[in-house]
Amino acid sequence: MEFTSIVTLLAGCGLLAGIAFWWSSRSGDKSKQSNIVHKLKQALGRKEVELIEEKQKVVAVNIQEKEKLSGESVKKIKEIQKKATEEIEGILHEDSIAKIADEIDEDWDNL
Amino acid sequence: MKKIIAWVLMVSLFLFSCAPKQFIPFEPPDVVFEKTPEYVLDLDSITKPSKIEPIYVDENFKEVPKEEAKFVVLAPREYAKVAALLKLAKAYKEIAKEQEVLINTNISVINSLKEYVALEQMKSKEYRQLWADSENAYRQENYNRKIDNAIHKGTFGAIFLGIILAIVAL
Repeated sequence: MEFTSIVTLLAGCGLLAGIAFWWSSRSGDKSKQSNIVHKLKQALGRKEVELIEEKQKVVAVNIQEKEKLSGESVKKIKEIQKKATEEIEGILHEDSIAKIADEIDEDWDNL
Repeated sequence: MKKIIAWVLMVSLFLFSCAPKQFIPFEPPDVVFEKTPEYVLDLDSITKPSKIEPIYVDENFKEVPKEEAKFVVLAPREYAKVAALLKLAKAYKEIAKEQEVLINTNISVINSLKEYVALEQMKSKEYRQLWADSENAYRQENYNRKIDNAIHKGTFGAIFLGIILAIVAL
C-alpha cells in the first residue's frame, strides 16, 4: 500500500472521529437544553403544587374553625335543654295563678 | 510535580466517582382532621309535665263527669302544666333553630371537604405531570446516550480497523 493511501485512510479515520465527536457534542448541547427545560418545568410544577397546598391549608383551617362552631352549637343545644328543664320545674312549682298567666302570655307570643 | 499529579488524579477520581445529588421530594404539610363525634339529641333530659287533670263542671260550676261538662276548671298546679307545655314548645323551637345552625355548619364543612378533595385531585394531576415530565426527560436522555454510545463504538471500531489495516499495509 502506498504512503498516500495510508495517509488518506488515517485522514478518513480522523474525519470519521471528528464527525462522531461533533455529533455527540451536538446531542450533549441538546441534552443541556432539555435539562434546562426539564428543570424549569419541575420548578414551575413544584410552585403550582405549593400554591395548591397553600389553598389546602386555608381550607383545612376553615374546616377546623367550622368544626369548632358546630361543637359550640351542640353545647348551645345542651344549654337550651338545661335552661328549659329549670324553667319547667320552676313553673310547675308556681302557686300564683297571676304569675302563671303572665308566663303563658309571654311564651304564647314567642311560639 | 508527582504530588500535584497524584492530587489531581485523586480529586478527579473523587469527582467522577461521586453520585449525583439525590433528589429528595419535599414533605407535604401535615394536615390532621379530628374525628367528629356523633351528634345525639337527648330530649328525655328535659322535664315534662304530667298529664293535666282538669275539673269538669256544669253551668253552675258544679263538678260533673266529663261527658256532662260545660266548662273546665284548672287548679293552679294544673294551670302551671299549660305554662310548662308552652315552655317545652319554646325549648323545642329553640333546639330546632340551633339544629338548623348545626346542620348548615356541617353542610359547610362537607362543602369545604369537597373543595379540599378537588384541590387534592389537582395536586395529584400536577404530581402526575411532574412524574411524566421526569420519565420523558429520563427516556430522552437514555435514548440520546444509546445513540451516542452506538456512534462512539462504531467510530472507534472503524478507526481501530483503519489503523489495523494501515499497520498491516505498512
